[in-house]
Parts: sequence; C-alpha cells; structure tokens
Amino acid sequence: MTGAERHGGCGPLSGAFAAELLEDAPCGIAVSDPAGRLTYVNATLSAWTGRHAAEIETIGGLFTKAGQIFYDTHMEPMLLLQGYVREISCHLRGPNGPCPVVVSAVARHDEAGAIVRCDYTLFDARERHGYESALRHAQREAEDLAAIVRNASNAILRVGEDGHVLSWNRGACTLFEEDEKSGIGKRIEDLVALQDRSSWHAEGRLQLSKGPQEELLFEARDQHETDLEISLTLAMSEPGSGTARDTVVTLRDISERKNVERHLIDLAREMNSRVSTMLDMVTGIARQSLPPEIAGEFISRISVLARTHDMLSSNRWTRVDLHSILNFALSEAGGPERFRFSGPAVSVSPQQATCLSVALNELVSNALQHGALSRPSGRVDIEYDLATGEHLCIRWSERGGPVVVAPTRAGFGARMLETVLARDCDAKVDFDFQPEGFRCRMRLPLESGI
Amino acid sequence: MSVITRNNVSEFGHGPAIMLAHGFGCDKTMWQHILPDLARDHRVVSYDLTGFGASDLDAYDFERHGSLDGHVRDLIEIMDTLHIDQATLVGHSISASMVMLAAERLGPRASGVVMVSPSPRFIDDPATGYEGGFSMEDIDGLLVFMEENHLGWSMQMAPTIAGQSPEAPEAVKLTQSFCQTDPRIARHFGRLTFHSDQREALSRSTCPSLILHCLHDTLVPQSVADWMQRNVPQSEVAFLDVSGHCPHMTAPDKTINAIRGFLDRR
Repeated sequence: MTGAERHGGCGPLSGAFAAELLEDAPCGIAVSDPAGRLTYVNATLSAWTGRHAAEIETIGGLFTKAGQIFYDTHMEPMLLLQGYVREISCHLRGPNGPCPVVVSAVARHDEAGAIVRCDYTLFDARERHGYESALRHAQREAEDLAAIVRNASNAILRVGEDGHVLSWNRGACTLFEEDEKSGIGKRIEDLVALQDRSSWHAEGRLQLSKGPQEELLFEARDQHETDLEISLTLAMSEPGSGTARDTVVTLRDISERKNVERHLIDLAREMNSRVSTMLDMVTGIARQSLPPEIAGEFISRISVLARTHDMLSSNRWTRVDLHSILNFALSEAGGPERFRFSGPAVSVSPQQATCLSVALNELVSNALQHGALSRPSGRVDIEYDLATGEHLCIRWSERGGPVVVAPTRAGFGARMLETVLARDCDAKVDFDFQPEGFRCRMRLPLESGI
Repeated sequence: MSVITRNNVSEFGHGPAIMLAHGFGCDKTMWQHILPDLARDHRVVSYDLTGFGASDLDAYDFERHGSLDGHVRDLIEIMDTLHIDQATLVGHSISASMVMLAAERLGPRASGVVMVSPSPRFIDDPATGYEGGFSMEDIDGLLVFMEENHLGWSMQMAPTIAGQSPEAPEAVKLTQSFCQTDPRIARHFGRLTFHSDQREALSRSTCPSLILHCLHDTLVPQSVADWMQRNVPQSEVAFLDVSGHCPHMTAPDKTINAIRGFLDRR
C-alpha cells in the first residue's frame, strides 16, 4: 500500500490533509525557535491548555510553574545539548488545573549545525500518570518495609523449603558474626543448632503447614549457650501462590533477659528459703520463751503462715487454687467427715491466699476449742460461690456443737479475722451467733491482688 | 580519590584563570558553547558539582553538601589542587550564589565574579516584599517531576545504557550524565537550591561582580534582577534580550561578549 492509498488516494500529502493531520493530531504538537519562543501550536494542544495559540509565547509557558522550572533546569539544557528529549513527564497548565503529559522534543539544525527550531510532541498521560503514582507509592512502601527488615536488630532470614538460607538481614550477620554473603545456602539447622531440637525448622514447618497456626514462637538455647527467641512463619514464594512456601525465621538474642530471669529466680529462691528459716526461728523462740498455753496457739498461727508461704513459693507466687487452702483447713479440722466444702474452681491472689489461710486457721481453732468441732457429732460446712462474678463469697456454717452464746466482747481470733481480711483483702466479714451453730460470711473482691 | 577525579575537573587554555560552576539539573557540558572562546586567552577550569554529572557520587555528603558551603569548599579545594592563586569565578543559577560565597571566603584570590541568571531566593517572601517568582507549592511540584522522571529513566533507559539502543554513544552518554544523579541527591540539592536564601550574603559582597540577566527568563523574573541591582555592592548588570535561563547555551555570543567586557574592565 502506498502513502497515497493510505490517506485516501489523494496523491502526495496534500496541504489540506497535512494541515488537518497536524491540527487534529491525537497529541499536542508545538514548534519553537532556538530560544523557546513558540512559532506553532496545534489545535489539540491549544484545546488542552484552554488558550489560543497566539496567547502562548514560550514553550515553558505551556507548563505549570513547577513544570516551567523543570523545563528550564532540565529539559531545555538536555534539548540544546543532546538535540532531543524523550518521554519527559511534566504538567500542562490546563483550564481545569494541571494536566499530566509526556513530552518528547527534537532540535532541528541547519547545515552549519546551528539549531534553527525545536519540534515538540506532547501526549496525554493522565492514565499513565495515575498508574505511575500508584507504582511509586507501592515502591516507597516496599522500600520502607525493606528498610525496616534490613535495619532490624533482630536476625531475619528467609529459608527455602529444603531448609537452606536464601537471604538474611544485617541483624543476622551480627548475630552469626558473618558477612552478608557467607550464610546464604547454609542449612538453618546447622547455623542455629538448638540444644535437644536438631530438627526444629523441619518440625516447625510441618506444624505450620498443617495450619491453622500462623506463627510458631518459642525460646531455646543453641550450641553456643545463646538463649534465643525464635519465630517461624510461612512466606509465600510468589504472591498468590498457595503451594511452594519458604519460611521466615526471626531470631532474637535474649541471653541477657534470660540471665536476668535466672538471677531473679535464684534471688526469689534465696528469699523464700530465708523467710522459711526466719519463721522456723520465730517458732523456736516462741517455744522457748512463751508459756505453753500461749505458745501452742502462736506457733500454730506461725506454722499456717509458713505452710502458706511454702505453697506460694512452690507455685512461683502466682494465683493459687482455693481448694488447696481449704484442704489445709480440712486436715486441721479432722478430715472430710467433719469438714466439707463445696464450690466452683476459683483461684485467689497470693495476698488473698495468705489472709484466707490465717482466717480459716482461726475459725478451725475456734471450732475445735469452743464450737461444733469440740463435739464428736459436730461438723463444719463451707459453701462458696462467685454469685456476682466479681466477689468471692465464703459461708462458714457450724452445726452439732454446743449451744452458741454470742460473746460479750470480740476475742483475738475474731479481731484478727476482721482486721486481716478487711485490711489486706478489702473483704467484708459478718459473724452470726445462731444458737444451733456459729456462722461466718466472708465476701472479698476477686480482682484485688495478683 | 583526588579532587580532580572527584569533581571530573577539566582544564583548557592558558592565561588568567576562570572557574566555571554549573547550576542545578545540569553538568559541566553546559559550558561547551562559551568555553572554547574563553580558553583562547584564559586558563578555563570546568567541573561537575559533587553529586552531578560524572563526579564521584559517593563523595556526595548529605551533611557537607546540605548547604552551599560544602560546594564552596569543593571549589576552593579544586583551586588549591590546581595551584590557582587567583581566578574569576563564574557560576550559573544556584552556583552564582555559590561562587559569590566562595569569593567572600577567597578574598583577594577571587578577582571577580560572574553570575549567570542568578537568583538569591526563588521563593517569594511577602514579609519583605521580595518577589522570587515562586511559591513553596511550585517548588514541591518540581521535586515531584524530578522523582517522576527519574522513575521513567530507571525503567526505560536502563536497556539503552546496556548498549541496546540505536542512539549514538555520545547521546547516550549525555542522557546518562544529565539523569544519572542519584534521585536522593537530586532531591537534596533541589531542596537546597530552591529553599536557599542568599540575599544577606549577596548584600555584603565585596568582590566586583557581573550579573547576567535574561530578559525572558521564566525562572528569574525582572523583580529579582532589580533587587540584585539595588542590593549587590560593586555589581554591574548586563540585561540580555534572551529567552530562557541558560544564555550560555541559547545565546553564547551575547554571553561571551558580556563576560569579556567585564574581564576587560577588571
């Protein structure tokens, strides 16, 4: 097909056809003299700018102010020096605001090599601009994330399905005291040889691949006695791929924290031992120096404290089951025939445990000496519940004992009960001296204390 | 690395020394139309500012070059290395301010300063009534263009540089030279250039200077030239009936005549 046929068989490019082609081209076309003064602007470009061709004096004047600076400082020098510019992104000053365009230009020379004019084409780049903006945004996000990983103090490694290291960050170089390349390709289980867990990575992978767990987090020691916190997650090899998966292994050296923890445990053990020794000494001194009738009761109270202390120590001073405390009281009271309790599983804070142990000991002592447990047929029932969900309510009921007469003044036990429970546990204590049996109601907030 | 390699320094001709410092967005090739003429009877030294052209990009120190002073030090180091006792300093655009600062530091070693299309401050300062011609938003927009076009370069030009382009090697080299700057450096220097305010430094100048102002420069409005004329001591202004910001490229003859006139009067 000849050129003539292509444009309608009207012979070589006719003046009218060429003019139409130029004026209505699907791109902006402009021509300037070597100094940038416009000598031609086509209709398309004129329409884009919303100005008549004659109103636009210079090529720089087509652009927004920022675009003008960019033209003056970048485009024009390039055009004059190298003779062309290609696909430069810029903004036209349009009637409705900036309009993204891509500019290409070429300088035309005379026979002597001097520039005689410059020809410009400008393409509408609104779609491309939107796409590139999104791309730049995504690129920045990816760079930010990469920088976070790169500079993280934790060692972060990507490990292939076969357990070999694919890449690692600076934190890993520091942890393993290796350079950036030397760890690549090594087996992660050789690099991080955990004591007693030689296949930790393979086993972790298997566990994760079965789902639904997304991360495995555990602490372990390696062959160099370094304490590590290890996190294992699965990473898609390719976005959207559901099959072949690498793992991301994050290692944090927690030796320092572990050493502090070990030191604290040693300290706590030492403190517990010293408290026990101290209570033994108090008991010994009481036995030696107090009259027998007072010493017995005093030593009993101290031994309750010592026993509770031992229980809490062995439980690492965390919350304890109320049943354990009640079982102490049960053994003091003479066994399940004489002492029964019922209620849901409840744990109490170490502070509450100590107070309740002391309180129950006082109640059992009193029942044994003066109340229901002083008679073979007498017994004690304890019921407790979490009626409101926020308070523990304990009801102590005696029956089968001698007729109860309300005391004219509160004894030491009653005073201690009220003082200890109210002061240290924010509890309310009510006594009810029914003739058929003494009753006591203790109500303490569950949240108080850890 | 030597200062000469660091700044891609070139020397031409013999005679009284002239130092040529290019402006923002360019490299030393922009002097090619006036350099041969000046080199007929002068020792002309051109170089790439650190971070631009074929300078050593690794030598760009974001702290040292965070102010014009870093570039002033570079220029003086080049003069020291080349044992240039005295020179006329020629700077384009932001480097016009830079060479004026260098002249202040050099004292009698600077025999004169030629400022091509200078602007002590590009951003308007309503508080003092100064009209630099641009707002902060305009400048931010420019920085966006630089980023956009760098993306274009890195994605589209990389194969060209690898040798798959039909373009002439010289053209490829020039494209690289103009676009090669690390985008972080371009952004950094762009901010320095367009946020810079050298009005005070120019007002206290003691070195004789020539101001070359293009009458149709969209980057430097007439108001700036008027300010320069009023405030820069010992200065003379040559108004060139030229469009654009780079008269040494678009109107080399007029530029050479103006510079030669100034040199002859010294």
